[in-house]
Amino acid sequence: MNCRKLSQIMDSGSSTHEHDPVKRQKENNEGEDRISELPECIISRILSLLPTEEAVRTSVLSKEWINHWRSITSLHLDDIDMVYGRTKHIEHECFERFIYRSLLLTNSPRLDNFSLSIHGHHDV
Amino acid sequence: MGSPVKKIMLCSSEKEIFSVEEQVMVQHSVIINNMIEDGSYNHEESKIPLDCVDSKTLKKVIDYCTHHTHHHNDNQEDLEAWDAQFLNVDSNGLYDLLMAANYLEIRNLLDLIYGTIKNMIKGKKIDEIRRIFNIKDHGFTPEEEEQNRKEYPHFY
Repeated sequence: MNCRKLSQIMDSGSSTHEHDPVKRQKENNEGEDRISELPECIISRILSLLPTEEAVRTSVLSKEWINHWRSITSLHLDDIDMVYGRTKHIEHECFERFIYRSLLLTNSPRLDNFSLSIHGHHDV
Repeated sequence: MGSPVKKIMLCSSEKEIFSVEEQVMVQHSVIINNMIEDGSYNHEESKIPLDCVDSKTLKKVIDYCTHHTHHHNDNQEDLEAWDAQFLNVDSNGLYDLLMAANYLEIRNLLDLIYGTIKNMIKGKKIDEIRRIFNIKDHGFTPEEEEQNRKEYPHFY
């Protein structure tokens, strides 16, 4: 993935004002999407436990989820999976950009945790 | 003989009354602790109405609080095994418990459920997460969905 793509997914929510209310067909019990109906503060707590990259990724789950990741109050940034690991999917120089954009785009008034693990050489 | 254990009454959405040791709920629920402390609960007359918690969920919540009150000295492994068994419920049961724990402000139960849901997401592909949480209507246009899949193939 190149930097442009990565920024695109992180930014995609910020310009989406015309977000149509998703009319979900209510189904009984088992078939219901109840996670999307959880209060924002609860979704924020759950996403804050994930590596930040995985929290950002939830923005493609559905339209409702585009901005949920931005409410996270903890950032867990690690280059091992994103850049060097088995699931490597961004270029080396994009990791720095990912850090900056994560800090820039989260909209929570406070940050409870910040962890940054760097295994390779980056100009952060 | 010691003094009788003080009880409080909790009333579920079905108006079923549950009598629970006061200490058990006071220790775990911030809301109930506040009600007892500020004197808004009258032991002779009060029932605490929990209109958004059904009987099945309330019973589970009481089980959790009771176990963690009486077994807090157990070793960590046993408690974790008990918690895992306790949360072995379907996704609806999990959300009901989450909403109840949130309403009653039972912080350790909330953290346990947050961690469980986090583990249901972590390391999973988007298609898999959608399936686990029944997200059938993603709301993207076919073009947007195709675009996302093309741009981030490793997500799916």
